[in-house]
Formats: sequence, C-alpha cells, structure tokens
Amino acid sequence: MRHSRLYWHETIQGYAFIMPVVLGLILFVFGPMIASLYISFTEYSILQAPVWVGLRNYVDMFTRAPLRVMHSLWVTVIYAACSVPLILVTALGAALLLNQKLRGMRYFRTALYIPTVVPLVATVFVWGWLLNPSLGLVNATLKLLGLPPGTWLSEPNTALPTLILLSVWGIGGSMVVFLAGLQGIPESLYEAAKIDGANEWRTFWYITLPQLSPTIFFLLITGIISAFQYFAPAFILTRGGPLFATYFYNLNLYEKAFRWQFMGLASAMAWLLFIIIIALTYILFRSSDAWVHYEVKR
Amino acid sequence: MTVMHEPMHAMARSSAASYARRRRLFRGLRAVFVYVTLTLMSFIFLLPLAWMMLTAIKTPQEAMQFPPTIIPQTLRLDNFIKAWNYPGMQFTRWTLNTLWISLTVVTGVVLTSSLCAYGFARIRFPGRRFWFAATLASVMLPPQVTLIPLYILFYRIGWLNTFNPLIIPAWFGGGALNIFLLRQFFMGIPAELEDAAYMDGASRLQIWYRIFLPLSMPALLTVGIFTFQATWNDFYAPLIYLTGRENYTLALGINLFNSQFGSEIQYMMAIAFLMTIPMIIVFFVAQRYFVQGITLTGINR
Repeated sequence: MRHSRLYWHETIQGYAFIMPVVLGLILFVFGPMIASLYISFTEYSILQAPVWVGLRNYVDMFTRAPLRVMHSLWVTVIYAACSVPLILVTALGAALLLNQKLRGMRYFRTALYIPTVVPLVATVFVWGWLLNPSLGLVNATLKLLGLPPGTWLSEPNTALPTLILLSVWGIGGSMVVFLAGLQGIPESLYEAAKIDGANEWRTFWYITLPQLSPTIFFLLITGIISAFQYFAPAFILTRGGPLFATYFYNLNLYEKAFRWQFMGLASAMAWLLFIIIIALTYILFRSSDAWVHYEVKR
Repeated sequence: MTVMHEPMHAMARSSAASYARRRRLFRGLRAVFVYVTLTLMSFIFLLPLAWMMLTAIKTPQEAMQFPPTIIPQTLRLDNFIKAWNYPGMQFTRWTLNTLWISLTVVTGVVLTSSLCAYGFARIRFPGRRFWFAATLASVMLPPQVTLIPLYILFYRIGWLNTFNPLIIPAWFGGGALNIFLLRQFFMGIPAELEDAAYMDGASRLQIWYRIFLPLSMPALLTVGIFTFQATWNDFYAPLIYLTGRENYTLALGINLFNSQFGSEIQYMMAIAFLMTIPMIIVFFVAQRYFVQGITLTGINR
C-alpha cells in the first residue's frame, strides 16, 4: 500500500519530536541492558578485559554464602513486605482523617507532607541523632516515662525493624494520592448507602475500599519497586550492620561493584533484582482482576 | 382521638430531638477524635525537623547533654556560619555545584519531556504505541541494571568525576513519568486551537512553543519542581560518579562532614538544616503544584 505524503510528513515529524526519548532509550536503557546482560556472564574488573564465565555468577549468587546475596535479598524482602503495607495503611488512615469536612485540614496535610520534602540525607542524620542509644531524645523520653531504653539501630535484632518504622515518615506522597482518590469517589454512592441504612464501617468496607482499589494497586506497585531500591539510609546510618542485619540488596550490589570491582557479579545481581521486580509486578497485575475495581467507561 | 394526638406528636418530636442530639454528640466526638489524632501525628512527623533546628543552635556541651534540653539555654546562632565555613569543607562550592546540576537537569527534563509528550499526544505515526510503551516500561527497570555499563562507558570517555553523567542523560526525554504526566495534560488541550494555528501556517515546533507550553504552565512547573527536588536531594548518582571533593554535591558533602566531624552534632544539624531550607521554601511557594503533580501521576492509571 502506498502512503500519502501527509503520512510520511507526520511520521518524520513524530519521530523528530520523540527523538530525545528514542535516543535516550537506545543509549541509556536498551544498549546498556544488552551490555549488562553480557557482563553478567563474565568476570570483569574494568581494568582487565572481561572473561566469559558462563552462568558462574548466577550460580555463585545462590550458592556462595560469603557473598551474602541471598542474605541481602532476604533483608530487602522483609523490609518490603513490612514497610509497604505499613506505609499504605498509615497513608490511608491519614488520608481518611484529612478527608473529613472540618476546619484546618490544610495545615495538617502540610505537616504530614513536610518530611517528604526534607532531603533524605538530612533526615537520615537527624534520625541517627534522635535514636542515639545513649544521648538521643527518643531514649531520654522513654526514660522519662519509666520505659526501658531502645537499642534501635545499634543491635542486630532491632536495626531492621527500626528502619521499617522510619519508613512511615515517607507517607506524604501516598497520602496525597489517597486523598485525591477519596475525593474522586462519587457522592451519590455514599448517599445511596445512607438510604440503605449502612453503618460507617460497612460504607468504608463496601464503598470506599473498592473505589480506592485502583489507587491501592498503583501505590502497591510503585511502593514495591522503590522498597527494592532502598539504599541511602542503610549506606549512611548502618553501613549494612550491625552484623549485616541491614545489609540491603542494593548496598550489597554497590559494594560488590565499586568496592570489590566484581562488575560481573554485580550485573548478575542487578538482573536478578530486575527479574524479581518484573515477576512481582506480573503477579500483581494478574491478581488485580480479582480485587481491583475499575469503573466501566461509558 | 384528638386527645391521643397531642402526646403522640410530642413523643415523636422528643425522640427526633434526642436523635438529633445524639447525632450532634457523635459528630462532635468524631471531630475531637480526628483533631486529637491528627495533632499527635503532626507532632510526630514534624519532630525530626524541629529537633534538627533546635540542636543546630545549641552549644556543643548542651547538644551532648543527657537528658537533652528541649529549648536551648544559650543560643548559638553563629553555628550556621561556623559549620558552613568549617575548615576542610567547601559548602559554598558544593551548594553551587548542586544548584548548577539541579538547574541544568530541570532545564533538560522540562524541555525534552515536553517535546516528547507533544509527539506522543498529538502526532500519529507508526511505532508511536511501541515507543510510548517502551518509555513507560522503563519505569520498572532498576537503575542498577544499566549502572555498570554506563559507569564503564563514562569511565572510557573521561566523564567520571564530572557533572556530565548526572546532567546529560536528563536531556534525553527526562524520565518516563514526566513524559506521561505532560502527555496526559497535552491531550486535554482542545484540538481547535492547534488546527487554527496550523491553518495559519504555523509549524509543529511553533505550536508546541506558542500554544502548548504557555497553556501547560502548571504541569511544566510541577515537572520542574519535582525534578529540582529529586536532583537536589539525590545521593546515589553523585556518590557513584563524583569522586573529587571539589565536585561534590551537598548530599555528598554533608556525608563527608559526618564521617569526619560527625561528633560535632550541632554543626551537623546546622548543615542539615541549611540544606533543607531551600526545599522547604520551594515547597511552600509551590505547594499546589506538589499536590497537583502527585495527583496527576498517581490517579490516571
């Protein structure tokens, strides 16, 4: 089929406009992905030429305990499994409170959002200081209340739970998304429920929650992706310790690549991370038919 | 019968009144619950920032005191100046570095993401769906996958310890979410405006520049502000690509300060606070764009 001149004109113009992202994807995404896949099958320290080792890096990840790949993956999975639901529930709770038609909600919304604006490095240092076991404000307050002091980041068994707890301070973005979701629920649904005599709990369970399910779905996916990227707080505050209790996957990957120059192994680790993220996203998408409620578009 | 009517009405009236009273009471209790919970939460959420500010103006002795004083006994406002000019640290230079990187990244992101968004929103061409899907799918890709080849590439072409690895990639589309957000916004702009300009002989580039950009100021500001915030706060990329101290960003500088003089906690907090101030100002000046941006990217799926 011959195409008209307009067709070619439009095609050329279209590609001219999207050229930055096409080049960007080729130069900074697809190209490096292929290179990374190749490097993951080699032993490579930048200074020497890569040596093909087949699947060895992948086998090593699963079998060689001193590399701590499985351990750091486990740390990250625990973090994601706890912090993502914790953030979602807290953010939804805050959004439900802020959605009440009362005065002054704007100020509370600002207050709860502010921690998201503070640079992460700055926040991380304040947390280290607040939670200092011997001098920190938190333990001083606990002492004042007659409670035993916490060990927080200084003991292996409390360090990871502490970081999970700290993730709550980052609910700002999710909270605003929930608020917008709540405000998008048609008032008529609530009026109908009221006429049917539904109490508040049932209204929440049968109207609010299903109506919010696309929002929850979106936040769940983005939350999981970012939880698997966790890096700076562990790098700065605990350096993965004590006793590797907060040795997150990305921290491990960083050290393998830039401290030990194991570029092949680090690339293989990156691919495992990618595969896990794709698998989780796929499972969530497949399960979404069962629990995510979409309006039928008219 | 008439005798019976009066009490019935009175009963109904009084039960209605008590119902209304109960409802009012319920609503009042509920408002109290909402306010108390939110006040408590706000207190907890603002505590780190407040503690940062309070510690930043204490004397060294008072900062290390246990149990700590809440309000500083002696004010040390010159902590900010002393921390900023701490020997061996280059906070002024690091601020300028951070500012330069952030501004060039924002320019690149806003310019190229709006160009791409226009192409995706308004021009029909073969391959459009593929490239748009590829753009969106790249959100799922952890940066670590491309990190090592890019690091090697930048090493080979002599870009390590320069700002190029942080700035140049931002000029290639500016990130999938930004393109997505602007495309959504552009699709809402009426086609008639464009058609009229087209009839008058305007080129697509002129239409993008003269019609779409001015009409999309709120969306562009949202993209710009979020990008500025993310670049200003970024720790990971500078950590990998910037090795010389003179090229550090603020995030790296404060980390260096901590590793060498972290025990001078009042200075640490002063620096952290100074790094935070610009973000707080940006937030308050542009609050509505924050809310709008989150809403636009978050909802439309």
